[in-house]
Amino acid sequence: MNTLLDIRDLAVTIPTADAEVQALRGVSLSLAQNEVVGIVGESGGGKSMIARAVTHMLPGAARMTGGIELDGRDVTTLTGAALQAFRGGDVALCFQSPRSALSPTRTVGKQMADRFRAHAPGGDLRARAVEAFKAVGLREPERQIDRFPHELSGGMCQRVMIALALACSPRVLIADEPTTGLDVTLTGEILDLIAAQARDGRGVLIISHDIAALSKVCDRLIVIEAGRIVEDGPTQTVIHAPKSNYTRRLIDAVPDIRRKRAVTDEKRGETLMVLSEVGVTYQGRFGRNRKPALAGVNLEIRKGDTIAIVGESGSGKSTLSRTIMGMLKPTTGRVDFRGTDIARLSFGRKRGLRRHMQMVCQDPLDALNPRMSVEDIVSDPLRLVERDAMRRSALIDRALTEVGLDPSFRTRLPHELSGGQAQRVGLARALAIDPDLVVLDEPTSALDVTVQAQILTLIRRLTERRDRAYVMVSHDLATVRALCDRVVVVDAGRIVEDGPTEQIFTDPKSPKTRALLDAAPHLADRPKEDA
Amino acid sequence: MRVAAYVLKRLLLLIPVLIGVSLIAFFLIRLLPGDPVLLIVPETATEADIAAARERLGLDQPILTQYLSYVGGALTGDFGTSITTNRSISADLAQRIPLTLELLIYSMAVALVLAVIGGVAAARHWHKLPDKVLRFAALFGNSVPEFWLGLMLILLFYQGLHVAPPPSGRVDMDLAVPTHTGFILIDTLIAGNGKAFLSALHHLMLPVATLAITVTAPLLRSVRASALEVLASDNYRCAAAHGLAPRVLRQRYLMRQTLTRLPALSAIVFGNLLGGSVLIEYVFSWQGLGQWALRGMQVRDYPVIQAFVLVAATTYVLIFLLADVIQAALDPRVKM
Repeated sequence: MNTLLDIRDLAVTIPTADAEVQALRGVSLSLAQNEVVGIVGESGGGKSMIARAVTHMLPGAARMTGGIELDGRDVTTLTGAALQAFRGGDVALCFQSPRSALSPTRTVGKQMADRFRAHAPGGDLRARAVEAFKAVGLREPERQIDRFPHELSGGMCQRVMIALALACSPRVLIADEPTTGLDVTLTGEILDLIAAQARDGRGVLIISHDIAALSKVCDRLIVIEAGRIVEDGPTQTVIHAPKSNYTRRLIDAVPDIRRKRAVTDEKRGETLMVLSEVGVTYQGRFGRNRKPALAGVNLEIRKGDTIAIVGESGSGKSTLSRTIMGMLKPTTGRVDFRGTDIARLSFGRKRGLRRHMQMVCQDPLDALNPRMSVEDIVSDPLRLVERDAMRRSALIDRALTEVGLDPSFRTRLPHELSGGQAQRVGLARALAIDPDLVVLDEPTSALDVTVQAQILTLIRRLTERRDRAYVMVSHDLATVRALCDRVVVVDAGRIVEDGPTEQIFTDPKSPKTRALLDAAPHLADRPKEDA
Repeated sequence: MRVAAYVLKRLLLLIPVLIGVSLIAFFLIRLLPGDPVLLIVPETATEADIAAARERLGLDQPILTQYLSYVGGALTGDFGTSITTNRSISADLAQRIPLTLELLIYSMAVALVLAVIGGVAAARHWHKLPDKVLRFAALFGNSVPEFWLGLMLILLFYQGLHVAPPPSGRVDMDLAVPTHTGFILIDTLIAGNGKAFLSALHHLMLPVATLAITVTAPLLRSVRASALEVLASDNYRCAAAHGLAPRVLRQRYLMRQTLTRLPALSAIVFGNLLGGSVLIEYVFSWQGLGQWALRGMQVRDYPVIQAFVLVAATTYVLIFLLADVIQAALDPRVKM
């Protein structure tokens, strides 16, 4: 195979206020024609820096040394028009989180036409755009082409992003975390689509933290830790006979959907909450009613329960969790918490409910006020029950210790915390007040894999005490199997299946459940057919 | 069609706003110390003279009756007559509103153009010389009081350099044109009098410059901040990473997004401008609404103050409506 992209001894240094950060140290790698290479590692490891270095998108102050060659041509010194032609024309980047990487004020069709004009002008640009969108599996491209990014779903945005990158028919396609924020079904589809572009001499580089997903589509895996390559080899070798400890840790952290949960005695306590025939319809523009987000939902939650709500994005699982929390007023039906219909409570009375119900949010850093110290963050809900500052202080220490944080963290600000620490603070805030019901909204999906494993261990320790009810919203079935007693599958606003975890996993009744199970990520176990 | 329905809905909102504003204006000014009747009667007036004057002005009626008759008149376009000048308020408004509006609109237009060009240039040369110069200039414009700036400009350009006309009137005396719209630039164009048009522009130069300089600063800072944000955004970097031409990047990806935040701030700035125009009209002897309201305030001329408050409130509502419509046109994410 011919080498397409050749990176030799690449080092990137970023000066910060305190010190210089070595983002990449002596990275050498190559990409051949028709090859799919995965770069895997955790956030902060420097994997995105490789893509940025290749496309001259390094942050302003960064210094770079080493060589980058495409087809034997040095591309590190390109400027002006040559750089413009190289970017997109030779190497095209698919940005992480496509919705924010698409211009919000320009229709996707026009953004596509801009790419054509830059690299391959001529012809009917609109027709070409429709064709390009069709090629990446965007449904009804004629209609989508006049839409703005905010009118498209996350999966559609990612397809548009890929189409935009391909519009310039690049020799190398680099996808940076292309599946972040997508549900399991889409993750597989999008990765297959990206890997399929490695043809006609084009090479594909996929950057991700998800070693399981990458292992299914890549010919070769490169593992990066702290700016260094710690492993580089054929996918099968890397995942079945890893040489580096770090790779082994990454692989071990992949939750295994086939691993059964040690079944504990079902100790169900008093009934906490009963949802009966709950329906939620969001008001559309100009008061028009839209399709219901939830319809005819019945659910009972008892003390000691650990219930998973699973479904694809847009299935209504977030709506359901918010209804449980009393943050949404259902259009129909009742939500009884200990016999009181919380849907009909006044704002002030609802505040009293927070003593009994708490929530942990998906993105931990986003959910913490950046200007408040950890102490103040955890202290806030405690004010509901404890007026004495001294006793409150003791409770803060207890809550922090409970989630595995040293009390010395009290004075830290959110930006001084890692993702995992921030999520621990989120848990501490929810648990400090000793609620009866805790809703966990995708508590690990924004975290790195090894950190995910730690947080899941913590959650499992908490749930096994069975002193309260936990409701966990997730699209990650492997996690669910390891943690929850009961699984509720939501599709198109309805509960399509509800039963004990093992029963759902071994004998799914609904086709939706089966589809979700099939799409769940696990390490590739068969050798990939050679193309 | 959707826009029309939205605009209509917002215009209907004007009704409660005006009712509320008229109530507040009407009753609050009557709480102010100072009796307009005492200001208009001669110093030798007897108690009987004062009572007669009060009766003539209708100020002896119960206050509710006064309010109702005022609203009744206002609905038919009759805002009463000035207590001190005996002139019809409606006639005064028709004559003065265009003068002030002309001043405000041109100042706003100049300020917006300066702010957009300057703000984007500053962002593109972040922390380099153009950025520093522009930020200093903006700070200067923001910190000088407008009446002082107006006086200094008169001193420099009229008295010193003799390039500006004397600060009185809207056009040279010998070039007066018949009034059609009240907007001098339009009236001179209707009259087909090029010389008068130029003279009018000449007269507008200093007051517009003064007002524009003082309001450019907040707009420029906002444009610069939004442009910096767009330049650092993933979507701009993505477009750049796909090798789009610099001109396309600037016009289609930078400008449009940068401008989406401007209308809301502009509406607020326009309000400042309306307030600032009172002093500027005074400095430049500009016979507009501001001067008229100021004098009305000094002599407790109730109908004048009430009419001014209503006009100001209506202007605010309309300006914010305009800003919202422009914002929605610029930013597809905004729902109307």
